[in-house]
Amino acid sequence: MTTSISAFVWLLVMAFALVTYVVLDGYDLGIGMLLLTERNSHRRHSMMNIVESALDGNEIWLVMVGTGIFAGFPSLYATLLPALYLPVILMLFSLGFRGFAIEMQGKYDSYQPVWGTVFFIGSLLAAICQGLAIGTLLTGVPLNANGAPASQLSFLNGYTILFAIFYVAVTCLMGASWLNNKGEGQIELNAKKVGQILTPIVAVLLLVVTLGALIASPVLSLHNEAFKIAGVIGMIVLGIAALVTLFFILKNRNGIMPFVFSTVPQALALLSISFINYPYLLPPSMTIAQAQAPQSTFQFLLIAAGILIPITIAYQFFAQWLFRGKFTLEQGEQGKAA
Amino acid sequence: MDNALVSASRWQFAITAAFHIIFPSLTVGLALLLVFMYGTYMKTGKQIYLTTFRFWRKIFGVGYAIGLFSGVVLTFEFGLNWANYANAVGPIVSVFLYMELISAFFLEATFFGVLMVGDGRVSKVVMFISTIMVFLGTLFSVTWIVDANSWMQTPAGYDMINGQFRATNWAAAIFNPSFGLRFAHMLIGALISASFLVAGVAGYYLLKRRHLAFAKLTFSLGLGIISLLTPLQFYVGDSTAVMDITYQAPKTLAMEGNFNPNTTSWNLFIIPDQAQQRNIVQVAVPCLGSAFYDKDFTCHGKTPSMTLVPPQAQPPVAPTFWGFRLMYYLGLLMLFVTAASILLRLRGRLYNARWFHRLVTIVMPIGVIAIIGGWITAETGRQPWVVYGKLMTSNAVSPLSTAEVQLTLWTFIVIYIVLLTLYITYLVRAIRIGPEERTQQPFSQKTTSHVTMPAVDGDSGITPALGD
Repeated sequence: MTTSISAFVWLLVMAFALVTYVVLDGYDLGIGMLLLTERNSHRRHSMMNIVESALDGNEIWLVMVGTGIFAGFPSLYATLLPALYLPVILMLFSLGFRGFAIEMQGKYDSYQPVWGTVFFIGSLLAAICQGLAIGTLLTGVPLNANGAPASQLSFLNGYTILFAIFYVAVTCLMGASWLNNKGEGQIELNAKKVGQILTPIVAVLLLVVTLGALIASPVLSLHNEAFKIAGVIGMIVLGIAALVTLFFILKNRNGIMPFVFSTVPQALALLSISFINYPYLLPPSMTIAQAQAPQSTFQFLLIAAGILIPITIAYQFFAQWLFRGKFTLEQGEQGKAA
Repeated sequence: MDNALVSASRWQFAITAAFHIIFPSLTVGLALLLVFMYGTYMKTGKQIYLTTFRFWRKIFGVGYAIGLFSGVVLTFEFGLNWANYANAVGPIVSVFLYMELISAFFLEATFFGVLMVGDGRVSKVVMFISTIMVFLGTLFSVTWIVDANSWMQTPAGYDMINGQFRATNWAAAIFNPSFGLRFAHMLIGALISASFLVAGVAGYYLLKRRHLAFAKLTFSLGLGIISLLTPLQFYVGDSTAVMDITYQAPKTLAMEGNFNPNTTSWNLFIIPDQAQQRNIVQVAVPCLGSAFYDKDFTCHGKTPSMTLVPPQAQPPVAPTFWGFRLMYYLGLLMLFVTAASILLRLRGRLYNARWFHRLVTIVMPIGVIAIIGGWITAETGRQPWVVYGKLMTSNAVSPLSTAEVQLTLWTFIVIYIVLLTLYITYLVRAIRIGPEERTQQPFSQKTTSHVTMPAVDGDSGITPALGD
């Protein structure tokens, strides 16, 4: 069985969706966790408002990944989700309560500590669960004779825990970079400080999870080992370079550039894992070819996606553009009050 | 498959779905109301429409967020708890879900942000367009989800290879036999539900003699829509049941809860004992069975019996019967409200009849409850199949440990109770506060309200409701 071209194209679409999700929701998870670092309730309220307008639009890419995998690689969906049963459910609850907290917070004029706490805990738990899940993609899910996961705890091992720590750190860094972009005054200054503290931490963790991936992968030695190792090392170099650049431009620059750089380590970590895994979709036994949906499915999906995804991106950009520029508390309040 | 595991998995999915449906049942209609209100405000410039828009927008927003959450949980639940189902039907059903995502979910989620905080930041035209986009998103959502479920009820356009379904004809799959009627039925039901909520709130204000302009407008509008759509819904519902007889006869038999092939009665109330293939308690109206089924008013035609289906292939009668009756009896109540509202309107007493205001206030949630009843009918009536006639529910579960699923089942129950309580509390609070009736223009910082606005830092977004 070989991977069909449409399956491969769909996989690229999924990879794009996953990276988009991780970048977009990354910053709002990060901001949620950074609430812990902000003492001033007025600024906390601002931080939550910054997230509010984009939250749903961001999180929906997660559903895009989930549904897209369900459609294009049903056996992967059917095998991976039960293997990740508890972390995925915990993540769903956390995301749900975050959404509710943000909605409730927006109903009040001043910061309400309870919703801020809910938002913080939800963000932290969601980030940890997502980190565990992505780490599991690397360490794999051994299957028994019936094709079911051999263990209910495949998501919990040394590597996945390390990856979760990396994931938390890098989303905080993205959050700080976004606050630097959208926030004003003290929020922006605090964000710069936090960002600069996090940058070296993320650099170290990036090294750990990428080199660790080479060690922990059950399938690395099976295909093109040397080529993959070289590729991963190249990505490490790029990642560190991005982080170094970020450290310096955070000090002086505003706008979107620092944020763009902050997304690079995240994207590269994901890329390394897929690169190491290829052609396995879920190590150690499920290849892309085995998991792919029938051709008739891809025909429909690709046409639909081809038409609708560009339209979606266009109106998402439009919506972001409508809220362009610095976010001020007055404008946010005016938006709800007026 | 382990029965306890199947049972826990079914309860978990059922509870998530029942919880979820509460919210789209309201948000579709509310979104349409928002379009109408903001459009009329743009056209007439009259404050009352903006006030109405803002009041219902807040309630819409919270409901939408909870509905989104439970919808996402459902999507993942297919894979989490129903892995064998996901693997088998993925190539078709998930494509419908994907279409829902890409044509509806994204649309409403993106413009929802603009709708909720766009006042003052974007122009009126953009606000109006955003509101329309949100409504279209909810509409397309209903379309694709009902389509996915309808395919499970009346599968079409497919074949099976190694236990996996695949599409051979997408047009046939999408326009499967039950889709059209079920879509109409659900959509009309959602519009009716929102109308009952809106009319109920208005009725409350009429009783309390508060916000009278707002109350009269929305009372009349809500009841108007109810009056138009309820009779139509009976027609569509009946057509759906007739269609069911062709494609899923056992469901219709379970809906009637009759185990006696020789009766002509129609059951009002039963307590079935399916193991014994009889009803322990039965209250029935003679001859009504012939009338309904055979259109025979001479009391000769027999009411069809569940015993026509072999016991192991029978759906569970109790939930199917009671789900249907819940929906149907509440539907009759809706007809009563319709008739009363038309009569009162003709006599010019719509805003004076306080008994009617009290009634409409009390029956605020019947639309939602009826929809839940309908879905219970639809889903339990399809058992023991998850894809009717093709894949059995008991073969569709994930290979998880029963303990795990029971743990998450109870966690879900607690969380849904908490969320529902929070939502209802929020709803009650919002209704008690009432719509704001300041005369502030949306684009200027000035206000002509007699309540002075504090400085920007503590700028109040919610003023006490005037005119109490």
